[in-house]
Amino acid sequence: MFDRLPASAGSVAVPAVPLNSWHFLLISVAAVLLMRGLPVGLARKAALAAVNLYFLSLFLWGIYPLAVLFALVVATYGLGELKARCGDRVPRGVWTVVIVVLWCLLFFAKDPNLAGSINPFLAHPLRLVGISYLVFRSIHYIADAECLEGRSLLTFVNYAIFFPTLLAGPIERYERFQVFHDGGDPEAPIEPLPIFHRIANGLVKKYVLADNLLAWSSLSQPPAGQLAPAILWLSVMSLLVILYLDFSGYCDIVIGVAALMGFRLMENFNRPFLATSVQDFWTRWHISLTSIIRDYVFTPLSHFVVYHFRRRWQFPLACGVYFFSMMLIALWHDTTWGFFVFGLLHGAMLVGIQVFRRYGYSRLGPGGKEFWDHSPLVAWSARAMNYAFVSLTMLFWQCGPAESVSILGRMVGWQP
Amino acid sequence: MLQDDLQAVFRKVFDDPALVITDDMSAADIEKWDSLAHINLIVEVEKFFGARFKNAEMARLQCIGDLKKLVIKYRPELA
Repeated sequence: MFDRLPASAGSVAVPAVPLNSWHFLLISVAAVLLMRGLPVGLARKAALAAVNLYFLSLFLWGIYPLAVLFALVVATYGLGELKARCGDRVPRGVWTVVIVVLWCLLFFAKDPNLAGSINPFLAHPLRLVGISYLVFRSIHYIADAECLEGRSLLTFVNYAIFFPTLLAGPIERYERFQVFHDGGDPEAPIEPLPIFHRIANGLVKKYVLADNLLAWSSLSQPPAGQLAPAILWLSVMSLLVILYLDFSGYCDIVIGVAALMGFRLMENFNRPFLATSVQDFWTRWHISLTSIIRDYVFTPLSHFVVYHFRRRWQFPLACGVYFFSMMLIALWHDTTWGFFVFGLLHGAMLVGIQVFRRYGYSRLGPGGKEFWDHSPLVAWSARAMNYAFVSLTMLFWQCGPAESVSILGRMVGWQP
Repeated sequence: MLQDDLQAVFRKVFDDPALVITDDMSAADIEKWDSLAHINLIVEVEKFFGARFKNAEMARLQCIGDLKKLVIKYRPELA
């Protein structure tokens, strides 16, 4: 995923430790034995920190990224403690500024050329794996500090650099992590066989299916303009499935490894191909990311809108918040024109859904609403159209806006 | 009293005079309860009960029972 598909958050061209490597297997086995073998206590937590730091060291290039990481972790923990202990005495706006600064750090670090000379990383690009996931965890920790129990520096360090989720998530929440980190497992005991099954599934999905299908469906060899329309349709419509196999396969592996260690991580996918709309899709795809955006961007912004503006302004401004949230999700992946167009299209669709619900759905009679809400024909048509929409819009970040328009034109038989 | 007041807020937000809420209900149980409706609901509850919830508290609401507990936290006399 990190070297074939378009850049996702945190992916960098460093010597990788693939999840299907002997090295990763040895690290995982060591971590599982330590977590399962050591009694609950400081030694177990310290052992986890050692494994996490070792894994992180494989992706660190020099002292500079280490210093940035150290500063981020220490600053986050310190600010979290400050907020938890005396947050009421500090104006809310201060914490809003802190969160905005973290967002800026995220985008500036991912794209050193963003914003020109304003970007502190322009002169000193940062190569730190999983930087955006680290910043997301920092945003969550600071924003929720006063509600987080069991706060400690060691727990936070292990939470921030937990090796199964270091590269690409899922972005777990601190309180869930802390429960398992401190040895508590209020849910049923973890069964190893289903976990091994899940890991095996993940390996097949990612390294057998996704890697080989991606090579076959590549739209760059030969140039897409020379491919027959039918082949183009097949390639474009298969992109989403391939991405799902790659990313969900990765999630299966890391969630499985974490489960063997005694950590139940949140799921990142919930049958996304059953989504009947773009809004439904983003509640089923990369759930840990969209829930972060929902909780720390959409909710506070829309709350501000609804609380402070008159009713007639609330709906259009809330639509603006939907659009902004979607653009953030798109540009988080990469700050390219392709993702910008992707965000525009998905944002417009999200707004369209809100407009339909407010002005269109209410005009359907009882029979119409019943048909719309419960008809299998409507549901499956919506799923097919949603799949097509997401697949076609993916083309823009896969091939860039200009070539995408050319490919789309060729797909419908239009030749300039 | 809290149950009745909260139910009145829910009926107003979701425009359903017949809506009956229970503590274990969540967004999955009410069809129009999406992200925006959730915010409208929160703001209406805040204004009705004179509370101002923290973002962290709003993010942890899983069901109506959690919302009730949050209201009681700010209005203990309603317990």
